[in-house]
Amino acid sequence: MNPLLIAKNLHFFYTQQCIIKKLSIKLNRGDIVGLLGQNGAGKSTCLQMLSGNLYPAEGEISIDGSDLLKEPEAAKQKIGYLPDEPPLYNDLWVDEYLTYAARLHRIPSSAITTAVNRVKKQCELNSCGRKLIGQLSKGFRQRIGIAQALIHQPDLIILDEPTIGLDPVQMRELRDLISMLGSQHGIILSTHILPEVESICNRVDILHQGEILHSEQLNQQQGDQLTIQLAEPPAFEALSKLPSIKSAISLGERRFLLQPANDATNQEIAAQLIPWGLQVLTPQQKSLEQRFIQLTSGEVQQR
Amino acid sequence: MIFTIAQHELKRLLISPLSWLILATLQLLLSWQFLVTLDQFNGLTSGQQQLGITSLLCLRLFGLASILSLFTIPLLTTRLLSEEYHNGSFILLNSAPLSASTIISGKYLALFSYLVVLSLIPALLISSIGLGTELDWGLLITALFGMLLLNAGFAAIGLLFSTLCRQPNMATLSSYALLLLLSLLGYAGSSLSWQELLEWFTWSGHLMQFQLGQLRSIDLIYFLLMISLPLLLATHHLSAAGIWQHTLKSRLNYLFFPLLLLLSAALIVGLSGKYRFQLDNTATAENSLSQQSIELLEQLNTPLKIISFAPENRVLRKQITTFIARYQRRQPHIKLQFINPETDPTQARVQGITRAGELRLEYEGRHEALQQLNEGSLSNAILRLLGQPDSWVLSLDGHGERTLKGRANFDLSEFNQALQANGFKSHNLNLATTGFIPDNTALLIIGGPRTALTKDELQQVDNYLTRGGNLLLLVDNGSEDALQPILNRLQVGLLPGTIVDPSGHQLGLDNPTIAVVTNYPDHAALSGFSQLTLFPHAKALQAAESNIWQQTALLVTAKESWNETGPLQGEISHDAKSNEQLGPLTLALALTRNHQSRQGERQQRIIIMGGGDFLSNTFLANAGNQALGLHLTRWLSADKRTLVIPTLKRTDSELHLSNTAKGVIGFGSLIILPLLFLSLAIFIPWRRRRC
Repeated sequence: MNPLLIAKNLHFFYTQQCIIKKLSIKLNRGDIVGLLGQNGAGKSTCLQMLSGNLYPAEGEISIDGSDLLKEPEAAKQKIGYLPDEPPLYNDLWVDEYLTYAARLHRIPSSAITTAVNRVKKQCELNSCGRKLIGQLSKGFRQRIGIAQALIHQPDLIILDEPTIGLDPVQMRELRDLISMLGSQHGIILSTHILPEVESICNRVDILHQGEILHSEQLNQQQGDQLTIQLAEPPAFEALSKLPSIKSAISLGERRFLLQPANDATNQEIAAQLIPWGLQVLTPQQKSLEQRFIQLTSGEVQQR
Repeated sequence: MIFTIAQHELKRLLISPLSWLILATLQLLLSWQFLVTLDQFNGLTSGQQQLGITSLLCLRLFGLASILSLFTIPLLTTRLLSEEYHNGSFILLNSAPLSASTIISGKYLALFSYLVVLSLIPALLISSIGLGTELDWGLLITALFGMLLLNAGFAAIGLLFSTLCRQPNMATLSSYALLLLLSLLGYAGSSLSWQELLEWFTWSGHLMQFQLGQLRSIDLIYFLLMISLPLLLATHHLSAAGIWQHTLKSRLNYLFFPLLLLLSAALIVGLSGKYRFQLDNTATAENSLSQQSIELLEQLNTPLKIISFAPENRVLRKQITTFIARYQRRQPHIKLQFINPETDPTQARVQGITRAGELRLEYEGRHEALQQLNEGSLSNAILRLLGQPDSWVLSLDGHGERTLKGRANFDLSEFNQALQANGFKSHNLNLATTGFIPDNTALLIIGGPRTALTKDELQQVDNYLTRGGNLLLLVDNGSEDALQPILNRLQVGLLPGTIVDPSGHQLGLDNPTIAVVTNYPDHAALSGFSQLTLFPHAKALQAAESNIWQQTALLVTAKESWNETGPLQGEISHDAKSNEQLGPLTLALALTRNHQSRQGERQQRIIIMGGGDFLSNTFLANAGNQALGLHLTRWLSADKRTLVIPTLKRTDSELHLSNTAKGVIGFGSLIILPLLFLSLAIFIPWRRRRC
């Protein structure tokens, strides 16, 4: 299967200053990629280029085989994009706005009502079809922006900080929606909320000063490191020789830090530990944050 | 896709209070102007109008509407793109599969549809008076078309700046700046070589032509460029957005298209100067030459130079240029030159120019002076310059007459000069030496002979009249006997004595023997003539019943005049007992009859004047005497020698609106409609918020 998005060697300058440097991203259907970076790292610029709203000085972008720079109309039909500020008309009703967005994306007239109703349901906008967008709160506006990006069921969904302005309940619902969409579409989203990346993305790209410093696969089943507590711990050697465990460190008081093997899931590990009376199994959630801080601040220190 | 965008933009325009407020303001101001104009039009005596009601309203209402467009359109265009950049909604369009030209066309189409409605307001107001007059529809539709073009042009310029500027305020201000520049440029120039170019850039002059009912290629091209250039540039900018900033090469690439566009525009304008066309859409063809003038111009085969002694006044000179251009379009031999009589008084004096604004026409060594500029006067002047190569004005000599060549005070030599300057050939004719009156005599003048003509000479004159010859007979005191045979033949009698006319006293004349004529009948010999004329020592004529001649009294004295038979000394008064008659007395008679000859039927023309002093060297310069002499000579000397340009009969020079109709139009347009628009401006946003 062809990759959905191939971006190669993108460069972008703003008043002589290099904002994006040698940036390359590849994304398949089913991928949910989190673009992580500090403020000013170039996340929004990167997404603007991928959505066809900014023209790179150098590089190529291809969406499902269509060249975004050479045949933008064909490529843009396959993209749904939510910019950092949702592109709304304050003087329109939500329904009018979504209908217009549907028309712009060449949805046939007969299918427009269905499409509008679908995204309204997905983004929980059912109650405010005939409300002026200008009168709605930040959370609603954000969800209208997302609805707009989904209306034509694009192959590639680009979301710039999608959960901003949402309350915790809405945030969780949105993450569920993204996870669900991720099974059929390719999604790339930017954020600086680490747990968000960890909970919904299967890959994270860390962007710093216009460059991708680090890219890694995330697997919710396969935490990087696990802390366990056993009621009847075996000999330390027996533990470290388990097939699904690469290495182990004793933390004392029947607690161990495990580094799982590459393809091992947490379920497999837990199943193997149960005979020794597994009491606690906690994924080491700090790892991404640590790496993020290490990578980005390290760079700062070098300068 | 264009229509999707257009529909969306139009909807957003109609739900915004701005569009309804603009409509309300426009409706209010235009109908105010409309009603004021109607009022003024009715206040004047009808028939005296310079312009028909349609042209008057077109000039005023579309003129006002164009100024309002200038101020409102930038507000509307800023919304189209600049405001969308600013509040981020442009990304919706930019992320959608749309080309730059689709976005620009869609937005432009929406605005233009709204502007069509704005342009229709003045047109509908004007057509409402169709109830009370016969409107000049051709003119109205041309003016409306001009308004649409202007609005389309303004909208295109506004949209260009809306595309270029990311800051809405900047877009509005830039549009205003350029539109104002294009409005005022024509008024800025002082040096005349630049003036024409600057005026070309100014829209008001081009728009004016439409409001006069003229469709000219030069104006069409101006507006089409005003529309297409900004739209193409806007599309170019939008499609190149972002790319062009990156490298020097891409910047040069970006600039290449506008440069190419401007060059081709300049080329089009240059070529359009060569291939012009023009349509006159007014009902009475007010801006076109009559068929008579067109045929006349075809006879010009060497350059005709027209020198205007107009002072350096932009408006005045423009009017003259525009007027002469009508002739130049038909005849490229015509050249126009301006001489400023203030800075070059010597030239003016040498050319015998007495009034600023006078025109001098020069053709093949002959010249004509012209004080009024209208088609009748100019075409006739050209006609006179063309002359008729083989026809002569002859004055009879040998019996003590006033002759054209004689230089005495009572002679006609100065009048002769005027005749020659007007294209006539003239000579004296002594029948004793020539023995006959030549066939190519266009007019014979018999200027009051003192001694009787011989029998043979009388026979020659008689033959001449039988042949259908034209005659100007000046009957002076003392020539009655010599002329009696001819007068008898023409069946005209004389009253004794000399005309005394006290009405001259009011004009400051202290000599009552000068008869004053101020009013003229509607007769071909006097067409277009209205000056005062003075007739010293004149005699009154008496027409007898005639079955041969059709007689018309051309000149008639005032009521209080009479023919004094006593001596003209001391106190004189009307004496009813003697043979004295009170005025009006006939001073000149025109006699015509149809004459059959081998060349076909033509009209024989004779004028008998009760005295020739008015043409004499002593009195010729007084009042309109010379002009009258020329008018009479022209009429007498040939059928073809005077063009009668048909006067424009406007269908819409009178307006009869019933009070009810006036009330409905006034109340509806000034109160109801503005209030309706105003309430929509409030109601629509309120209704939408309530949902």
